[in-house]
Amino acid sequence: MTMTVPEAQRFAHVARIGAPGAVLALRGEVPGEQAARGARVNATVAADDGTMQRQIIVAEKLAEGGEGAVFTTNVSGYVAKIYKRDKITSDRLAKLRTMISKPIRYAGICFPEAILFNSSNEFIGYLMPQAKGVELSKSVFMPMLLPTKFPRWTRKDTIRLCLTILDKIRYLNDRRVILGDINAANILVVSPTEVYFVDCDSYQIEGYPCSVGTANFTPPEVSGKDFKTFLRTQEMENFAIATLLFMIMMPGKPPYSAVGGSSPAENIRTGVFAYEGKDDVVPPGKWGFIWNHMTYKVREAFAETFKKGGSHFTPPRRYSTTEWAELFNGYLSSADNMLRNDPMAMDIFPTRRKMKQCKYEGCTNKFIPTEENLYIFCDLHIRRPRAQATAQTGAYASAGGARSYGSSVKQAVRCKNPVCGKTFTPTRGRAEYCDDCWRQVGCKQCGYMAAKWMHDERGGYCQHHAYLAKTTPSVTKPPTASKVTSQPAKSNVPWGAIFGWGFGILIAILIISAIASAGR
Amino acid sequence: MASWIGLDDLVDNPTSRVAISLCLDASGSMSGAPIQELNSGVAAFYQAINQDEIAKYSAEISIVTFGPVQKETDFQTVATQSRPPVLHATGDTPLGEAVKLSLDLLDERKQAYKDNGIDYYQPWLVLMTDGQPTGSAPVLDAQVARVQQLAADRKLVVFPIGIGASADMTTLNRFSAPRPAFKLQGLNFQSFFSWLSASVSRVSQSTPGDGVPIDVDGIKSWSDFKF
Repeated sequence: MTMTVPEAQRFAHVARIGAPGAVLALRGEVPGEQAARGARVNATVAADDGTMQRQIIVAEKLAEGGEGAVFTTNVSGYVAKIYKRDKITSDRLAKLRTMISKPIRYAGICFPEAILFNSSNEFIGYLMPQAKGVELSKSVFMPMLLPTKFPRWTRKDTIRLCLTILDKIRYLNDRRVILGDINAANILVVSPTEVYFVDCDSYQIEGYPCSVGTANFTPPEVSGKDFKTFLRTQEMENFAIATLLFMIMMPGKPPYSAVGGSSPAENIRTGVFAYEGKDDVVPPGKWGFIWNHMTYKVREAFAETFKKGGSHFTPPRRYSTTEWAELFNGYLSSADNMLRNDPMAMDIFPTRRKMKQCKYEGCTNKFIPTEENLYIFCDLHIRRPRAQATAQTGAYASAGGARSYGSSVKQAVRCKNPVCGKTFTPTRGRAEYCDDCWRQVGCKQCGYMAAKWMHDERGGYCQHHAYLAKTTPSVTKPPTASKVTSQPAKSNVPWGAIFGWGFGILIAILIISAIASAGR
Repeated sequence: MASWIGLDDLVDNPTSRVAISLCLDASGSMSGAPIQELNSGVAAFYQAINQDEIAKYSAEISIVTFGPVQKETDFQTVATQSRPPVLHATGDTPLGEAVKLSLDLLDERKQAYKDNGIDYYQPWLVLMTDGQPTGSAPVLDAQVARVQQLAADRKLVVFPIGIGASADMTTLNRFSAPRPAFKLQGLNFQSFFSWLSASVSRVSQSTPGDGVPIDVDGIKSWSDFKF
């Protein structure tokens, strides 16, 4: 802990769960009870923040849920949640009274700030800051929707999103608020740095439990238990935090729903986690590529947390928000370096493994690990199939396989970019693509600069415009004049993200608008 | 993007699934207005699901028809298959055999979810008929027992629905026991399927294992059933 929160600002530590309450029978009205969504209610209610009371107006019904409905109010930036009759209970009122007794004020945390009473002075709901954005569950957690909701995002943005969320959870945990039901439907995203936490009245404080939860976010020690019957610990919270981070980085994929497993709850109990921290063990398929491109430290942290016997598997050893933030900050600061090593490093959905450095002694070439090169050697140091071999002699081919090549053997090879296909003599750091293909070129649409071969993988576009070209026919197709360039980029690598596109485009827009306004 | 999603929806789409098996009577007696209304009801169902950005990746629909027992379409999300097949009315009413195929396909699909580590909600079986079962009685009895067991274990939500005056409500009641089966108001397939799609959307936004939040009031729009 870098900063200590004064005890007066923290909720008390309570070890025993409070007694359940009862439904309060109302004599007065529940404003907007029968109103449809979008209907105007315009009811006057009393808002009590614990020190003073004032009349406010509950205006328009915004949304309805299982517990109640949310309304706009005449208090700028605030909305009212009004419970359904059968949810208006004595323990809810007591919990809210405790909640408003501490100043929980932090950007994006829609914590209750005042309790609302009807004209008969009966408890009906609470006032909270208004949230914005789209639910994590309807954006980042759905790989099919993520590119439509946040088309310009790269992995830098998902890392930043993790950091933003970690910061808010830490603020709450530091004040002894346990979120408990960490849930993708209760986190709204505007941008990687603007995030809103909603449904905060369900959070656990003092002896009031968070009475709900979901299997994926429930640690093995309380698996299958009724959430109403116990208080969660910080250790349990840390398990849910690890799950949330995993599901952001592997969009929507829960850690324990690996291929071939049984139910998530069962896998959580037995600690069956299908991903390995080690560099060379890559799970099959596309989820494996996403996993493989993460930094070693982050992968290791996940594996040690989720795998039975891992060094952070036992509850007290689980990583804290501070430790996760350190790991993700490290990831973010190495992002540019990772991009230099592999232009696909910041794709949210990479379409191949991470590039590696050749294991041949003294060789610094980077290559894409495949079955053909045994995941170990660059093209220069691996025996290519006979049909493709150019200057290969029988002696080389039979003299003990891969390692028989000397690094001094420099024969011409074919550039791996299918759009290029030129032959070239490999040099240090240039084993797979020719110098031409490493040249920086601009995206056909926006001019964003990247290595030519990376653009060619996407038909000449950056990540964002390759996506747009796929979904909207109005973006011009690549020219098809010459036979060489008309060869389409491999169809399985169409639109992944490279470099900080969103960022680049944003800067470009800023510069353009600055120039435009300066001219006026 | 399309290529990342790929053909293997089970691998690439991590969304929790709600499997819906439509086991529909398409026997000769359904020809004319009933089958037309059924077809437009099913089409509207697909359309409504397709308009819900979550349900479209979550709901997986399979259609089995009888007349001759036929798999019209295996479980697929509406994002993968956005239009239903057109159903034709012909043949007898081998109800038991059709339910058997529906349940077998459902079992296969649940296994596929487990193999791929995909969460799923309690699956739904919608059973619609306008006549008397004509298939083998032992097969029918076995399926009734199977459905009742699954429902008791909360592993299946069953909606047996009778169409028209000659529907065998006694048999349908056995599928939904202890609760009586539903009876469709006239040929109001549209209202039923719009209620069903709303229920599916609601389920697809809930949490697997939480139980199915059924809109009881909405049932009044297509059935005279009273709880």
